[in-house]
Amino acid sequence: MQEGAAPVSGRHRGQTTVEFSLVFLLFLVMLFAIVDSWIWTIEADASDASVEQGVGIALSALGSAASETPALTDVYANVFPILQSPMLGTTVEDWYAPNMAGLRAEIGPTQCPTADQVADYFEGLGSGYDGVGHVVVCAVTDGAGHVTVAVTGYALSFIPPGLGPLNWRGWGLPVSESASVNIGTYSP
Amino acid sequence: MSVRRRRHRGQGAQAAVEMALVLWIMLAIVLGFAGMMLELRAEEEFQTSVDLAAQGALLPPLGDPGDSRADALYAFTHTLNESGSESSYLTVTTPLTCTGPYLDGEIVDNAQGFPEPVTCTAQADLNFSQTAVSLLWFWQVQLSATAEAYPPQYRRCENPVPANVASPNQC
Repeated sequence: MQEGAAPVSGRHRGQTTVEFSLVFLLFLVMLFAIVDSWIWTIEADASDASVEQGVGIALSALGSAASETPALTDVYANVFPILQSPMLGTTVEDWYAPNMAGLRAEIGPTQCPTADQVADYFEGLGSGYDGVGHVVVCAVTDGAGHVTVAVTGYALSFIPPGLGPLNWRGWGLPVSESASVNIGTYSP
Repeated sequence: MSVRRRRHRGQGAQAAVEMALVLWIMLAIVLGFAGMMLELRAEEEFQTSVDLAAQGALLPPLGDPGDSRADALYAFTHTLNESGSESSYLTVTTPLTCTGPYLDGEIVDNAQGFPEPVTCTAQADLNFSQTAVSLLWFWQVQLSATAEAYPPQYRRCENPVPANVASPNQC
């Protein structure tokens, strides 16, 4: 072996390892960003479809075809099958379930909560990091002849806590889809 | 300078160039993908709004075109949330337009016996210039959505048809 060859070779190997680690880390970050945006799109699309179906369910009035009382409490059971699978581990909650009574009382009967209000509520209950991992299916009337259906909350994601200016909650991405239509009847 | 040291310096420079190339390619892939996802989301949201607008037009009874148009517009504007996540890059360029015999106060059956639908259309532009995605998506994307809703049977006039009405389809 020539004099001086071994130390240079060892340093070179070390440098290669560090470079590889950096590039691999960067690669992983980008890979997770791609996977995350893809999953979020699937979740948000499912929420959109649920909201559209939920409006139809809410409008299928209670009691009779001429009734103008929307079937608000029937929305969750009907959209749950559409939402549960694409949500990938995120819990789908019913706005009218007993465990949501606290948030219902806070928001009032004519509004649906925002994604942050849902996360704050579950954070208060000590469920999920920063309250993420829960979306709520909400259906209300605003008292002025409109029915609103919303799917809101934070779905699970790969985004670590405290990600700079984006101010997102750790391990969560906001899902917030809603639709509002005038109340109708299923009669002439 | 020895030959070996020059070779190492050359390898370092080569690694830096390779890194610079790979970094840009990876960034382009991520931004391209993120842009594509945002576009899909906006398309879906826009289509849902137009779908609900068409269905909203059928909420008022037959013969109330003013309310039908108002309900369609309400459903469109309150589903396409302009203060929501898409607000920074989605702009409606052609407002919602709905047409169909139902909006003229009648139900017209086609040759197959099905009622002619209410058809709603709208157009919007996607512009990512306010977002990081614009590093790659510097062009504008035009969205166009069309939706049809068919007047249901119960929207025809009640029996017995009032004496001053020409047919059950024009009450």
